[in-house]
Amino acid sequence: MTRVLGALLALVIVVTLGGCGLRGGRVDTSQVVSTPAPTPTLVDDGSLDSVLGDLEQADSALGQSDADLATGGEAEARDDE
Amino acid sequence: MNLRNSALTAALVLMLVGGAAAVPANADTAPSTLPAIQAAGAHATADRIAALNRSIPSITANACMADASRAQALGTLSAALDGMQELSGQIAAATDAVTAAGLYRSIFEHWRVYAVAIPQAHFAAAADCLQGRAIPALLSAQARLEAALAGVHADDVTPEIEADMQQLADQIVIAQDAAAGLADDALAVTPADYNADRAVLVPVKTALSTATSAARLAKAAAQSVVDALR
Repeated sequence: MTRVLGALLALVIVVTLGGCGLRGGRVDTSQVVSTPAPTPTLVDDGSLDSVLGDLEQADSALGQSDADLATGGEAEARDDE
Repeated sequence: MNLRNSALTAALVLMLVGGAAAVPANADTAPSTLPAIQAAGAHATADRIAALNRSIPSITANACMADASRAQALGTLSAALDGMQELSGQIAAATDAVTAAGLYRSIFEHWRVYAVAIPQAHFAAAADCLQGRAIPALLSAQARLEAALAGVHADDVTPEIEADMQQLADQIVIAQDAAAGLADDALAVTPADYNADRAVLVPVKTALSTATSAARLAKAAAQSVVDALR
């Protein structure tokens, strides 16, 4: 009787552990998400975003240029000779 | 009617007062006694030293400026700072009005801190910002838009987009032409040049304004194309 119960317990443990392993395997495979192929729309948006990045950089440089032009002009205006 | 005349008179007075206040001191109003020259010299040199001490860190930290322009501008500003400090001591130590007056005049005629040194440094920085940053960014935007219009957006091209692209190209050329060599032109001006021609920096400022306006028009044209494609 004791042997039968021990065998059953061992079987339960083996089945339980095996089940976990199988589930783990399943989880691993399910976590592999396929990357969708880029659509033309996404490519377009990226390209135009790059243009906007260029324009922001141009705007920033123009702002700095304006500031320097103004600073130079202010110095000229202070000339008291 | 009386009220109108009063208003006109008041406006005239204000114009005259404002005009008088705007007239800079010149040789005719220069101080003549030793204490007066020393006081004016102390004020003029301290004022310029403070301005130079603001400009030097500003030019040093300017993210747009090319290394060669920065080195040249800082050399001029540092020399002017040394010159002002030296003159300040010499004027204070002068024992006669003639010597003090000569030193006082050199604050202006030899250094031209406000008329040349500080403006030329900042005008050169502005020109470098245009030539080294703004225009390359616009050229990059132009190239990207041309690629998009020849590729994925080929079917989206309209006459308006074509006109904006032409405007983008035209204004970039105007900006490039106006900004070309401008930093060097600004930094080449000397106090002697200014003494001979008080308007010597005007062409630099005019070209800077032309280049800046063209670059802004180019940016607006590129933005219009992006907006039309989105």
